[in-house]
Amino acid sequence: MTTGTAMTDLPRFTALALGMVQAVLPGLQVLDTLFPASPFLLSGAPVELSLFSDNIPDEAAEFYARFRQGGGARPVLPFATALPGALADAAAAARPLLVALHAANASAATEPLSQAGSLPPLLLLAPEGNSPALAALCGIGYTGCCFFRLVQGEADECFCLLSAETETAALLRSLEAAGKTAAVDMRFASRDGGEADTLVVFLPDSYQTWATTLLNPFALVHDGTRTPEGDENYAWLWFTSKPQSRILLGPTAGRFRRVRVVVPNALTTQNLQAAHLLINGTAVKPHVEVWSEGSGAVSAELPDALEAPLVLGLWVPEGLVPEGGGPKLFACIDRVELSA
Amino acid sequence: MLERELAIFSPIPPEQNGIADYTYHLVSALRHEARCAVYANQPNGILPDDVPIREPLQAFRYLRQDSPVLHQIGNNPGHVFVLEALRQWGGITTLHDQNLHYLYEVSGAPQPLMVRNLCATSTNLGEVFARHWFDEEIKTSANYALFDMLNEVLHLSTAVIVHSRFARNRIRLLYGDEAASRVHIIPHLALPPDERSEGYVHGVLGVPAGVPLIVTSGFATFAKRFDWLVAALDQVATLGVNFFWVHAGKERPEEYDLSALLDRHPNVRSRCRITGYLTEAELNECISACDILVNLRFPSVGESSGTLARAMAAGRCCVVNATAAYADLPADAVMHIPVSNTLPALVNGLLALLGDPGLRAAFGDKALALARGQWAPEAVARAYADVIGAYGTRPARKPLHRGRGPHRFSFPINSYSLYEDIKAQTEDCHGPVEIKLLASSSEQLAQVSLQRPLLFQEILPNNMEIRAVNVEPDRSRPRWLEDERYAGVTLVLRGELA
Repeated sequence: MTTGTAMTDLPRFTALALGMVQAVLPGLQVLDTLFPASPFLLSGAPVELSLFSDNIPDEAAEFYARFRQGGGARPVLPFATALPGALADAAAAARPLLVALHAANASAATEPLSQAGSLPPLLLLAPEGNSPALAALCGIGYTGCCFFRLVQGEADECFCLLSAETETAALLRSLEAAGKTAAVDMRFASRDGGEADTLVVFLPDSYQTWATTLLNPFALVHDGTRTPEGDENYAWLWFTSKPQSRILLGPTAGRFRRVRVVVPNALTTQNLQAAHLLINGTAVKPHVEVWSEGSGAVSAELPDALEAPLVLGLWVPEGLVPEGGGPKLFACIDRVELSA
Repeated sequence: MLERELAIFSPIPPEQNGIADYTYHLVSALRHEARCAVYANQPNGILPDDVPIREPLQAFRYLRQDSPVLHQIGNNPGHVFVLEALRQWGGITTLHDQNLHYLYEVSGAPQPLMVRNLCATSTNLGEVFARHWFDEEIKTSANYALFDMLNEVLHLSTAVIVHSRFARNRIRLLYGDEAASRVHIIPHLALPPDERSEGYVHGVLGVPAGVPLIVTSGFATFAKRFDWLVAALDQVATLGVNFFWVHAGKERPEEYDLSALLDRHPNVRSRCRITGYLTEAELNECISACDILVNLRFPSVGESSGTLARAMAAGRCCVVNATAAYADLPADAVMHIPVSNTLPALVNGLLALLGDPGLRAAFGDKALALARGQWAPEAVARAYADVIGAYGTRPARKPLHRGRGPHRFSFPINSYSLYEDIKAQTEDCHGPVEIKLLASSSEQLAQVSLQRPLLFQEILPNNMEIRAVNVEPDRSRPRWLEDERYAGVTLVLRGELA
């Protein structure tokens, strides 16, 4: 009941994989089809979220339909609806578009991809070797295909880069170059008999994808009713109408140990001190820092076993109708920090 | 110990709600029988430390279709989310009220569901009252008396827990043997009044020491029959028998003017105090200090009284009416007063109790034994575990089946809950469907279209395929409601539900 096929077993190293592909395709924009798991949410790359609703159970779909991306400015659309716009935006910006796809959604993706004017490169989250997913995508013209495996101790994760235009060898050479810039040990495995080649990348034990991530309000995917205010230098977001709002943080398990929300205005210190965080819907009494009347930060440890995607809830008891009327204001945030 | 985590949907303290307190005490005992998690919209809720509080919206992360689920339902807005959870997850329901009419009204339940609930009590009456209510906007207190709105809850619950034989018999008479076969009686929890404000009664309230103290409690309402009590106390005072009466609760003059009643009985007025709202500790002190707790109720819809249970757990002598759930109480544990010829019986009963401390003690001792036995939290928790063990992992019962179409539904286009309403209506439907979205004017329709460009995608269920979309005049209103200014239009979506 908890999550659909495409939401389970998400790899830890998606951001590194994306970084390698970014080296191959500099300046790329990403259409992440894995919402609500959204493994690229914290990657720092310009990512548009979309979804395959068939893979999300009804109970979960209803919940995740509350969320909007881009700080609350845009809905999360089904892949078929989102793809033409994403391709047009990428073309207008003269940037390549990479579609991140889970093998479970490959066959559902073939029709919208076929109908698109051009086939964008794909980063497929799929096991190494031939598979029905790969066959379906090859069938619509993805002839260039190579695997790369990221290995760290027991963790062994495989990605497949697919293209309609690029030769496999060229892709691999590019990936190899990208891997070298990350200063990791790599082994190239060339196959016979028409099977796709694989590049194995051994990551040192000490390798961490991120130590700390800061999310500013414009990068948030949340279910509040407002969009951020401010500019690229400083932005803030008011949560209104209801005591609780939720922020989607994607698959963070095993990567981060602590979450901290900076609250420049909780109306009163009493409201801030009464704040609760909810980790995947379970209430946690957070550590509260009070900086001045009504401002400070709330933080909590993340549990070891944390089902993806992480949804962080912020609850404060009291709201206030602003001067001139309008929905009640509850709390204003300006940063979410995740740390290892 | 149950194997799986027990999910409990209920309001919890600090919400000021008797069922919230009940859940706190139930969970405190039940956690020794099962791992418990409580789903409530109160992240700041008060529960034992090892019991997590989770938001109902994310229950899908933790529940499986065969998870044991327990709902605590009462007839007030704080239970709307519990009703929704029952619809989504099924499970066992503790029915704290025998009438859920108000809950259904405030829950925004769609009209066809309300009509089904009305008709489940009586098809003929239900149809007539539904027409009066929904077409002609006529609704009176008769609706609340005649229709309990229990049908959907009884249908969706794998088992139902009530606190009295009266409640189960009532369900049997109205809904039949099959429904009653899934109803189990678990007595209300009896908790001794632990935390007390000592000195409150004789100090703050100024109740004279050495005078027998009579206590009533809660909001002063008509059903608590203060008319009977005050008339009886007046007669007792006239006979020269000493007493003092404290009403431990608030007045609701708009509902029942207790002060005006006392003004007509100066004999009683001079021996009484009305406290207004009390803290838990102050109420406990009133209960602990009293010699007689009077808990009259007529008419009763089968409700239980938490104060009565608390007074019995404190070994107090209690006086109740011999009606509904109160009639279930053992005759040697409380004094029963009949609901016919009540006044002389009440006068005689009070005279007997006021004049005989030994008689009061005899009732109090029996009450205490009952409270420490079947009503003790540990015993109640074991009874819950037995019912949950027997039913808890059975799959949820299917929603009322609506079968194959054609289905026709109408909704106001500007509703904020269109998606939820349409989903609730079309769930379990398949075949041809016609959904009408009613707008008061073509301007409103145009405005909504501009505001919500993805309207269809936002509101329609995944299993509906649209075959045709038309804009038509709205002919749904009764002719007599129409006037020249009304130029409603309807966006008609015709399609197929898979």
